[in-house]
Amino acid sequence: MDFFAAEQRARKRTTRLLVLFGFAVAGTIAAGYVATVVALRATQAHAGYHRGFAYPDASGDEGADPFWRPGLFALVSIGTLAVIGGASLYKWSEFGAGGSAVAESVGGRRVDPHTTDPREHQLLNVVEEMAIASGLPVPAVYILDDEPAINSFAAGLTSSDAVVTVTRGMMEKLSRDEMQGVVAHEFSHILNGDMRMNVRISAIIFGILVIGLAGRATLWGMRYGRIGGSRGKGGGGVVVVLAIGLALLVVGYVGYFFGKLIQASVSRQREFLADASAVQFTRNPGGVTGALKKIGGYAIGSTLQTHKAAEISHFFFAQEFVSNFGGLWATHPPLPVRIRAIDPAFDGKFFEPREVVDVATEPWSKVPHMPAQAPSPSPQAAAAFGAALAAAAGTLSPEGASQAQAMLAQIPASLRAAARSPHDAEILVFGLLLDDDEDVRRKQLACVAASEGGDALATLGQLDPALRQLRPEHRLPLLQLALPSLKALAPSALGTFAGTLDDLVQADGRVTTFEFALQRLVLRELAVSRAPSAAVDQIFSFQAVTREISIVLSALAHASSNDAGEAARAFAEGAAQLKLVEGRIALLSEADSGLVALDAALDRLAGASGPIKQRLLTAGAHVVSADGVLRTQEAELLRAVAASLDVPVPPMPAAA
Amino acid sequence: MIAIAILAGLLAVVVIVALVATGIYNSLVALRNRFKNAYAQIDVQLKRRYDLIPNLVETAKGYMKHEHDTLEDVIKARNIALAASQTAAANPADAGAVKGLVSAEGGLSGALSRLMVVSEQYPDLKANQNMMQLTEELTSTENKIAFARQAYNDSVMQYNTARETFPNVILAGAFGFLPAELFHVEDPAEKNAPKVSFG
Repeated sequence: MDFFAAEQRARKRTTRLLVLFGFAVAGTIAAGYVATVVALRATQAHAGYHRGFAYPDASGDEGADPFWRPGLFALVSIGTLAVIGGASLYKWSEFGAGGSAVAESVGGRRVDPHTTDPREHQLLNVVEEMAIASGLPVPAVYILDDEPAINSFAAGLTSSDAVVTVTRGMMEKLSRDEMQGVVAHEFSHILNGDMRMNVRISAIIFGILVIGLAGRATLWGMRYGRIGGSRGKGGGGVVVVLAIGLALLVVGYVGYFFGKLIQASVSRQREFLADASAVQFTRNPGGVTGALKKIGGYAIGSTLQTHKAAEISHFFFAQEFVSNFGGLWATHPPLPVRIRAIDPAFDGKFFEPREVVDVATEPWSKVPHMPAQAPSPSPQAAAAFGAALAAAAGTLSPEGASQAQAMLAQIPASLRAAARSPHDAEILVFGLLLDDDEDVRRKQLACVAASEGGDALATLGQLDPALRQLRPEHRLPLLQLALPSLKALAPSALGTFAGTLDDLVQADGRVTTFEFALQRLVLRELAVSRAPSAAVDQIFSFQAVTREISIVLSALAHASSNDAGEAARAFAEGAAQLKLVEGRIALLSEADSGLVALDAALDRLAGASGPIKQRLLTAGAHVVSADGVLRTQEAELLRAVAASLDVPVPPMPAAA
Repeated sequence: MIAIAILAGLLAVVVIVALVATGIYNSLVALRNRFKNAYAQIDVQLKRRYDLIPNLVETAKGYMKHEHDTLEDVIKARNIALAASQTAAANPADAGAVKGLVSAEGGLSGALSRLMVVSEQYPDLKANQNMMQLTEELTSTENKIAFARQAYNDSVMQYNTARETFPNVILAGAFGFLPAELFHVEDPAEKNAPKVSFG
């Protein structure tokens, strides 16, 4: 690509759009003027005494109003610009705190310049290289530790207070060259003052919005104004104020709408410019295109988890939200278009994640994503587990992690390796579901062959001996190990996978607690990674979910003991933990708290607020540890509950 | 009345011209400073490379007992380049000294890439934490040298373009903005990629 020409083209288009934006502001002023003139004429027609008001130069001509009155026009222009200017200053001051404030507001952690972590050190080196290549001062570097997506942004109104922020996903998934391309892209934003320009545009748009808000406030005020106005001859005045309010409302909102539209297209042009500059700085088109292809290839892509990023979505390397309306509001051009702009020979094939997952470098190979449970606990351990869970749900201690690691070591190595490969992980999960009954097993194998092909069967055959050796209590921890690999599956493959999973579970016509827990864990995790904002309707009241709480605790109680008395005692133990609703929840029969009911209850509880989930889980832990015996069955159920509620639980203490 | 109007008009024209001229002058100064800074960066990064190399060789020594010659070559090339850079720094106007530096740098790059090729055969060395860090540092420094040259050339090009376009070209000469030269790699040896031979 000829990046200098591409840069020039993008700059020219930006200029054109900015001129258009200027027209939008001018149009707002003109519309405001027309509205004022019309309103004044109406005043004149209705009430004679209003004459003489705001007539700076209508000296000679009193009867017929001239449409063009320079004095009035100047007044309206100054008024409009003052409103826009004032509002803009307010908006500007929000970003005036500098780039580091922006980075910290979305959860960034500053990388220590003397870091000993090799990846972080490499990142700092790459940033320094690009600072040299672009001739800018070296900015501060921030990492978003909680973001598995591949994205990055530069913030700062000037090059001296600029910062570069990258996500953890970018550090893990991109090669050095690709990282260089992304960082170079960000430097282009800093060099070209894109953030400054964007904040200016946002500020002006906000100013235009304020005009619309003023109109709305006027209309709102009319509800009371009418009473006062109807006393005198002011009936016409009311109409005028109403008309002005309506005009302001329409002008403001229409201006806001088009302003936003233009802003989005400016932003897209700046992305092309930044991509071209990234190639100029690195002289390596493979870096940026490689990063873009990886974003396209991973299911999670560039979508961020935090909602605080919406304000600064224009500054990211790739779109941080999913855009609708055919990309009209998109802050970034579509990935294939961007790649083709750099590499016209692009064949439309994104990166295939499975080929590069390197077990040694993935962080979850060292510390499990979610602490897993330990084997066959003793009664004391089970009791201690309840207490530990009550104290530590939602936290992860170093001891917990090391225990989990020791436990993982007991799982056969071939299975662990399979869990970490995105391709084999799928098959491993199928393997976990295989029934001991030969008839059912044949049926299940046929399902796998039908959906995944013969290769899958062969892999399954290799895993089979190890799977047969696997202890029951190790099945869920192994699954948790496989979850991150499953998340790397392409979105299209996920559908087939979920379908096959369901077929395997249903093959024998009944659902065991393990199958239930497995399906819940897998679907929950994959759903969250695909649409993080799915569970948004929050429930804040215990009262609203008493029925669901009863179902969950009852299911756990029945799982903990076959004896009805024991189950009732366990239930009471758990219910005592929930003082607020203790009187309102009761042990349900085994039929009423079956897996189907539990499934529905957990779906609803997923939307409950954090404290409710924490308390419920604590109560659940008390139910399962009430009799001092922790069966694999109840542990699996509890884990499924915990996963459904998004509360990580500590690993169980090792068997004494 | 008319005279006043003409006077006001003239004044406006003068003010506008002065503003435009100031703008042109400032932008040319900014561009000139950018390529000067880029040039300084080349020097900084070359020095950094001289400092890194002894550490690298020291670490590699323990693992590469049979590659004594390769290591010696690197140290020798580094010392020659360091001396050449000091000579060039002492008389920056001397074209011969600059040429000597460029060829010494080429020799050092060659010796280093040979060392890197050889070190591929020592898995222990490659896995050494210290060596990994040094390799990353060296890669980064080499990149920085290349980027500094590239940034210098890019900014020289921008500066020259800005200088030669209308209306800047009218004022650039008057303000004393001279055309800038691109950075050329004169030694053909440095342009050639290191040869990798299997044998």
